[in-house]
Amino acid sequence: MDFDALFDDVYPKLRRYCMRMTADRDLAEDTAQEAFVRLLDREVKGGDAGVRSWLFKVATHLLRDRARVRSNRLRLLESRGSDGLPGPAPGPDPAEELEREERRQVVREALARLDERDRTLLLLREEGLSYRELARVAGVEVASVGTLLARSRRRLERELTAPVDT
Amino acid sequence: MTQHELPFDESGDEPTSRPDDASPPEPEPEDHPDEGDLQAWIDGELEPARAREVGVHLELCSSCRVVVEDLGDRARSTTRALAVLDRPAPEAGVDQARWNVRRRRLASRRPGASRRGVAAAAVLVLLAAGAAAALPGSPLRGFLWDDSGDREVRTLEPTATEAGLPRAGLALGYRDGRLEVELDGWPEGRTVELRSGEGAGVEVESWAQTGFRTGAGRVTVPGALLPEPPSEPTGGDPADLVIRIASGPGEVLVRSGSRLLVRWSGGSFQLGEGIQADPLSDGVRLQVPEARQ
Repeated sequence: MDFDALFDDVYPKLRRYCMRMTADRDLAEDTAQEAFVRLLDREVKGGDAGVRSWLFKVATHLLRDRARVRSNRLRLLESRGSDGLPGPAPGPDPAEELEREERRQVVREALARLDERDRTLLLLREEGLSYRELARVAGVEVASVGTLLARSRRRLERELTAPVDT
Repeated sequence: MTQHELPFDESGDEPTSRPDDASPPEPEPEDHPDEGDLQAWIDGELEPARAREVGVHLELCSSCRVVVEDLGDRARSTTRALAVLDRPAPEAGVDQARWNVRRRRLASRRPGASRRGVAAAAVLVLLAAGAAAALPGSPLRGFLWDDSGDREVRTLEPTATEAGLPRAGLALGYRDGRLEVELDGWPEGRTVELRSGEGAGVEVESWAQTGFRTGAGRVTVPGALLPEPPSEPTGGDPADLVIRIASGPGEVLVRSGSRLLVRWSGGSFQLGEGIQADPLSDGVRLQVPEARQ
């Protein structure tokens, strides 16, 4: 796959992954693009799957580094829920918009309460990475990915239904 | 993602392959696949032999089928929950991002260029849509012609489109003392000329529809390719893109995607693999090749 085709295929997923990880559009786009900048200067082996998992791995490491630099924690933990975007645009039904934003906030906070490995596995799987790719990015055994995925989904479900501390 | 279908009627509790006359005993508990195997079975990630074993087990074991259904339900609810976080990407976001990547890559080469003392190339963009006429005496001229050496990178960035017209543009920058020109988005078969220029910069002519827009430290050119170059009053066959480079930058590389089109050094032109070109009195004329798979 040439660079443009690869970019068209992977960039939207990588951006979404970073966006879900950070809830910060600027940081997500910057990180996803930085991963591709690094790809241009490297020869990554393993075919398309190898390149794709390499990109997600680089982005994951970049997010981790940047989160550390930025107050040593992911922005997910911020309680205000800013995602770097303007607030919800006034729509025909402000109440509906408000409700949607509240749902986002609940999911963000639930994700933030997961440990990093669970969060990474969940979000990577949502982008279509295979177990082998997940193992490569998250640094776990392929044979344990199914167990870890099932466990992380259960934890997310529990966090989503847990009473919110006030 | 390949996912297995449950090997039984979803509406019922009984496996479809179970004989009517005799219910086989449930497998012993120690024979149950663990949750990880069941999850991997759902996701189509088990080795074929193991997947067959689990499939056979599921036909016989109602308790494992319940687990599989729960795992599937949870996976689907996870997907729904996470989708709440998404907001639509800005229109043309992928194209814009690709430009950003190329520009950043070139910008990352600046220190090497500075060490070698390569004079910065100024960029002058002339567009068919009358923008050239607006240049003399305009503030843009001072911005576009910049010999300070501080701004080696210029990106000509298509940020606007017209329906049905392909977006195309350039990124220029120095890398290890060479001027690199990267074409982005130029369809196969479009003609490109690399020519000697006058003065101290790089001049780019493109049959694009738009005007200039400038920003801090960069030049952007919103635009889209015309389906065909307009015919010139003087006749001839105008190229879609003409790049004129004055003496000074040393070696010049022109790429399209990952393909090297031409290397220009010491007055000679070396074509990339599989690239054919026609000689011109002051350069070469070639066609954008098919993207390499």
